[in-house]
Amino acid sequence: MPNLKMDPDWLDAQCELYEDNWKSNRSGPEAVVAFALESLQPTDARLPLLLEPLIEVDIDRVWMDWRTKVSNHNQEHSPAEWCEQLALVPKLQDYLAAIATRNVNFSATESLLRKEYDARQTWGDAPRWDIVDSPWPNWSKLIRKPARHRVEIQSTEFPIPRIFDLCGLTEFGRQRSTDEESGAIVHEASVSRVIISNRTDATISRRQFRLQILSGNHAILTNLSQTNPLPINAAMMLESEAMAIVELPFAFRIQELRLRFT
Amino acid sequence: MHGILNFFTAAQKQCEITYNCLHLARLIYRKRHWRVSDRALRQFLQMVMMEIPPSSPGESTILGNYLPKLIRLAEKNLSPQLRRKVDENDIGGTVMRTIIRQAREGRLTIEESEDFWKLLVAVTLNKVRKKARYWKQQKRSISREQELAADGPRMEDIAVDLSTPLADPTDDEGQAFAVILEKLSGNLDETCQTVLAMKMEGLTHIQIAEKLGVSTRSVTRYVTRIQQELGQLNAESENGP
Repeated sequence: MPNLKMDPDWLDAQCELYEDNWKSNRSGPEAVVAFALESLQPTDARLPLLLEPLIEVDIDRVWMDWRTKVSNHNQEHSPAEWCEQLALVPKLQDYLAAIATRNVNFSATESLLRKEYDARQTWGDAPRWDIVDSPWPNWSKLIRKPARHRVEIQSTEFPIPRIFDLCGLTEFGRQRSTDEESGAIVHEASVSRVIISNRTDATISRRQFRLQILSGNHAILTNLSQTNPLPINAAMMLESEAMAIVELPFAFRIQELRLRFT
Repeated sequence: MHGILNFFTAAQKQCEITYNCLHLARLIYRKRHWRVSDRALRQFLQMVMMEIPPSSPGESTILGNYLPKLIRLAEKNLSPQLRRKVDENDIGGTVMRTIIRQAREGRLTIEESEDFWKLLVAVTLNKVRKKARYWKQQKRSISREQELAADGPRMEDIAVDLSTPLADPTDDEGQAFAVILEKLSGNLDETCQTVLAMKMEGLTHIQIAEKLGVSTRSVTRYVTRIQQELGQLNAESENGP
């Protein structure tokens, strides 16, 4: 790779100009690529140097917007629809795909991975660090931050609350035969599992409920149990397999357990 | 050994300036108390704006900037009895080892230098408390050491106040700050002035970005501009009228 130089003032000006696009609601992978190609030729070797900061700027935009959208309009969609909407928020891979269609030679950088991860932690679905696609095996060490969301579990068994990080998708349930004792967290392929009661406690299902971080301050609570309803509050009982959007921080009791999500 | 000590002494002075200035800035800003000028204070704004690069707190930076201050903090929070058993230098060292280990394991990411300081303070005081608990246990209780009972605080008084502020700034300091800030603000555009105010209120880049509706990259750019202006102000003042 040749040692290319880009005038930092010009680059800043371009980024500033691109941010003006925000006001006209132009954002996303296509907007980034189109903007970059208005400034530089597809064959210009400096194009990747421009694309990287533009994508960084855009990632901030889409995830800030996402959080605002969920906060202001969470009644507009059902929880399931919000999950579908979440899948539509552009991810880094979408930017790379959009760039590839223009035959521009560009690949993800460490800085972009970190930016996407940080933005999703701050405003988005707070994915677990190890399920974000990365070509670098140790990248998590570079980007891993203290989790923004946590769950605090208190019961007679745990008079001193147990605290776990909440990332992306977390399930809560009774100990299975292969599980550790209650009060442990198990990280499975795409979901983390918090064991909230021991094997003998039939009042809590093995897969009782799931919490998915949706945006910076909202989550989707799903009752996974086919038999045990989930008492969210005095007025609302989440029936089997039902979903609800909850605003963080949020607390409820299930049997003798007190759970507080922040 | 002497080299290291000299290094730490120098670092300690630097830390004191940083910490005092930061504290001063916040206090004065909140009180909207601006008037006169003082050259020594010009540097503090730069320190307010300064940040540790995300996720890469280098060991030398940690040691150089924070260790002496931590040792003093530990010392301040150890009772005279406890100090017979525990060395504040050990606590400072243990804290550093903990922090460095966390950083190496990727469990430590700091966005703001002040966050880092708060983290160090919390870890240090936690270590002090642990040591206090250890030495309070009956068999080795320091309260059994009769000769120490008469003077010095009781173990119960080792209570630690994280929020204990430094002394309030004097009028001269306040006035000095005011002039510097006025000059600086005069050279900044409206957005940079807003960013400066927000930084001084302790907002992070992310919070500023959210409030202004801009990217975090833009916030970094504004902060850089403020630092450049401040650097220029410093250079001008050092070159004299």
